[in-house]
Amino acid sequence: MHNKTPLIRLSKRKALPTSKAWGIRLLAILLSLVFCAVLTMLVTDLNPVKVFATMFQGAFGTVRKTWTTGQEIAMLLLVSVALAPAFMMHFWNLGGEGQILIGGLATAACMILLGGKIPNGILILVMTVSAMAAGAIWAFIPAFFKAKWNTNETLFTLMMNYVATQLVAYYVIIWEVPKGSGKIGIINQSTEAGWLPQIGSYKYLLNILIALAVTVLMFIYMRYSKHGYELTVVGESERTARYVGIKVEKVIVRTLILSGAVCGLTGLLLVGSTNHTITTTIADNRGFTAVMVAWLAKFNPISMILSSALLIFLKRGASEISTMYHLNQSFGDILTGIILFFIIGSEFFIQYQIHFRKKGQ
Amino acid sequence: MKKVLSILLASVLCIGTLAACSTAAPAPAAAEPAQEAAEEAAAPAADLSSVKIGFICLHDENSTYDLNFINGAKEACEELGVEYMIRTNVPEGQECYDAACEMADAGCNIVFADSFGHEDFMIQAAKEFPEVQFCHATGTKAHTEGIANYHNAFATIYEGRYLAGIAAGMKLNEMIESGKITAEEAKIGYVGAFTYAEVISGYTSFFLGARSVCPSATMEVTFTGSWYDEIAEKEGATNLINDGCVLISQHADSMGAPTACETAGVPDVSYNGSTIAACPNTFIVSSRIDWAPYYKYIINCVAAGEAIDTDWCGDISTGSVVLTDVNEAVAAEGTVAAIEEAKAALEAGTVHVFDAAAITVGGEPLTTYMADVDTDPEYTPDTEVVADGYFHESEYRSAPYFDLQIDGITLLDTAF
Amino acid sequence: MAGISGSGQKELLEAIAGLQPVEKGTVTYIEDSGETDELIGKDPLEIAKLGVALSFVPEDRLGMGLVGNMDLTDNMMLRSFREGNSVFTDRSAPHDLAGRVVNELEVNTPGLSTPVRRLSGGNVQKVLVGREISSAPTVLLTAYAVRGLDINSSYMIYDLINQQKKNGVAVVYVGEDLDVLLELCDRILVLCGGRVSGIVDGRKITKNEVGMMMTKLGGKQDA
Repeated sequence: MHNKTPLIRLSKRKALPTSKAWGIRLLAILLSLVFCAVLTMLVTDLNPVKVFATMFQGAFGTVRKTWTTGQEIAMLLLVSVALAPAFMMHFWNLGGEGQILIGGLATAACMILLGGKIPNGILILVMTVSAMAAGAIWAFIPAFFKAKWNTNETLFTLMMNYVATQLVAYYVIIWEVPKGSGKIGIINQSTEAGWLPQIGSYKYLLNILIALAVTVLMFIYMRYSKHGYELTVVGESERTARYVGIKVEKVIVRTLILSGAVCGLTGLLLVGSTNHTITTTIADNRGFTAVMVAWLAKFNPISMILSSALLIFLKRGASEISTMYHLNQSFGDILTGIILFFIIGSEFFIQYQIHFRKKGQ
Repeated sequence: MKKVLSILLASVLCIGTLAACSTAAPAPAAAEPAQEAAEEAAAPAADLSSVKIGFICLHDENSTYDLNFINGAKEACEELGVEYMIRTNVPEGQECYDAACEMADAGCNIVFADSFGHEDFMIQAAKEFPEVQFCHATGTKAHTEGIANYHNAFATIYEGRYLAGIAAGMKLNEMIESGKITAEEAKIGYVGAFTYAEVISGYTSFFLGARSVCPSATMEVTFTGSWYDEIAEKEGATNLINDGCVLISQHADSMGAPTACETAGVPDVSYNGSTIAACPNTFIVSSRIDWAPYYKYIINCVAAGEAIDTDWCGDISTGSVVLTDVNEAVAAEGTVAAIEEAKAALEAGTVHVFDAAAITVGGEPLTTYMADVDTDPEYTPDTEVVADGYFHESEYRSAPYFDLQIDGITLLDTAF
Repeated sequence: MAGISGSGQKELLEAIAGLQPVEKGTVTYIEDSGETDELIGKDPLEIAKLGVALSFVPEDRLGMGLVGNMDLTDNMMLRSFREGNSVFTDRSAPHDLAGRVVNELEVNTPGLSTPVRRLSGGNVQKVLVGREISSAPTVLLTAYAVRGLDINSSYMIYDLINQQKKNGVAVVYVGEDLDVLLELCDRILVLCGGRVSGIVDGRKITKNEVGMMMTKLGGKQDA
């Protein structure tokens, strides 16, 4: 019996030249845009180019919108950069949301309890230190358990999120104004005590600069420092790490402290610089979106600037489409999902090659 | 590489072809993104065509709370033929400030926000755009901030609750007469969100309405700690039913309590809209605020160049407080007539919901009360609100401030 | 070290290298001066701190000896990255070492920044061995050094080992091929079922006798 080779066969590629890989990625993005365009036309009867122009409008249409887009990118970027060293170490820190919240809670606590009691400069210093320490502790706990008893870090960090959310909910009720409303409102609105300084007349410039600075520092740390090398080895092969005498437990704890501290910093910026209040939803799922940003950028902090920019552009653009064309907010999310799906799918085609049965095989 | 290039070119061709396809007109009354966005709105003109209004909603149409505002908005704007834009899912943070400013940038001369937590950010935006009117529902700071272009609005929903309470009381009477329950067992359950004045005002007025026709009625209240938490609301309603409550009402935005009632066969008075579709066997009536009258008011003010009231409180006569149709299959006989009679009395001013004679607090009659009308972090009571034999709710500011715990109502928990 | 695969060779080598916790026994390092150091209870870094230059070529090349996704330079840096007082790594020395290893051992690779997992088995082993002997060790442990290698590469490895022996390095060679063992080794320790079956003179023993010791403790035939 003559056995035929299967009609469609997959084989893992050996290696793809970088240009070809990027060609596939670009093609995926283009195809996704075409797909979205067709979908938009079928569902809404609108000119797709106009739809994409509106997306652009939503992100960059006015000076104010551009600044808001910049601030959104900065916040998402900061969280993604926080997750980068942990992910590079193959420690799936899904607790970014909780680490942001606890950092924000520490910040709010300082603003509410110490506002007006100590000089503003010192207050801001205390806020910064406590926010970063709070975030660091929040990440330290799951890291310690993983290092000592090899607990599952994915579950542990996820559950810490819930604890943080409930802590914030509790303190919101304690500090609420007015009684029973469940809201704190803007903290120190008249005195601006503890409000992070604004650079000139630009509300969000400080956030953007801090985010970029931390991104560059993290890139240098991961690529060129001894710590960065150690955590990369631990992530790639724990056995090799032990073989060369790297203290794996110490590296895990150290890296997560860093990761949590940067998330805490994000909480500081969200509470002390942007919103001047705290709610349980102030992190706005950035801790989870950042996972996507980090993976798309292959854990390279500089690449995260691009991937966070892409996601924020899609989000703001989709929101604008929903508002302008009276569509439900979810339509924009559908478009974002399709584009992401295509991008991730392209990774598959970069890893594997499809062979079709040729005649006579 | 050649292959990739040719696919790329083909795709570009596709997109070009698609772009060339002509389009149907976008959805009616959609606002075109203003290209000249940087300019602020000019001083209000004398006609409606110059008015552009923006609406900021906390959630979207899936929340009954925001759906109420959105429906009112569409109704008012389409009736007056005014351009409008709606931004949904705007959280109570800096995003609200950004959204309000973006709307002002886009040429809106009125910006409206629907959730309590939006207030501080609306105030910030109001300070930045003195030519644009910023209107905020449920807020409490307009009368103390002293900013000319910032306004609060609410409605005398307690009157609506009172009328709905009468329907509940009639139902209780029907249950007592049919022998289903004794007079002492006429216990109402209420699922509230927070121990917040608006909620307290709501359940107290509902209770007073029920008690006005069923004197033996009592009430138990449980709080969920959230305006929208379907599971907690369902659990709260179930707990109340298990505790012996024979009728339920709520102040929360999900379908949790009504569905629990439908499952248990316990009559329900809902809020913010009729739940008859999902609960045909238990829904009696619902009260809600109709925001269309307020929207028409502010649009007309801006069109005519007049000032908007700092604190606007609509009532039955302005059409701001409405009841849905009574579900005749469940409501007691004569409910509609009783409601109409009470409504007329409220409008005429012969009956007051918070009549001091009907209220005792800790066994003592109500003669005086200092309410926390001006918002401050220490919750200091500042205004005497009892006069002429009744509690003057929603007169010193549009948002309710009745937060007394009256006799006859038991709070099962006060954690929130 | 001879023995059927899985008789405890891996564990013994890892115990000496400080990678396997030890319950009982000693591993003594005797310096030229006659001083002795106890190696049990110390991890690789502490052993190095004692002044004992111990190199270990493990059986699991890509899973333990090297990091597959890293390039040659970064793999060369595995032993030396801690050097220097700066917080930053210095890749220039490892880069040069990588170049030397590639040249001297004739490693077939597209370049120094190729991830090592892309290299063929023999070349991977050359990189690994090259790195381990570059640190001028005084003790060299190798496990199955030529497993899966072609004949040329195998002989290259044997030459390297002999060179180390000439330099006075204490070489522990764990292998399967008895012919090679008898050729290469001065003393042979035979393991059987995790126990020492015998320690014999490699120059005088016969393959048969070693084979008997591998299968049965003590190796004596039943009377």
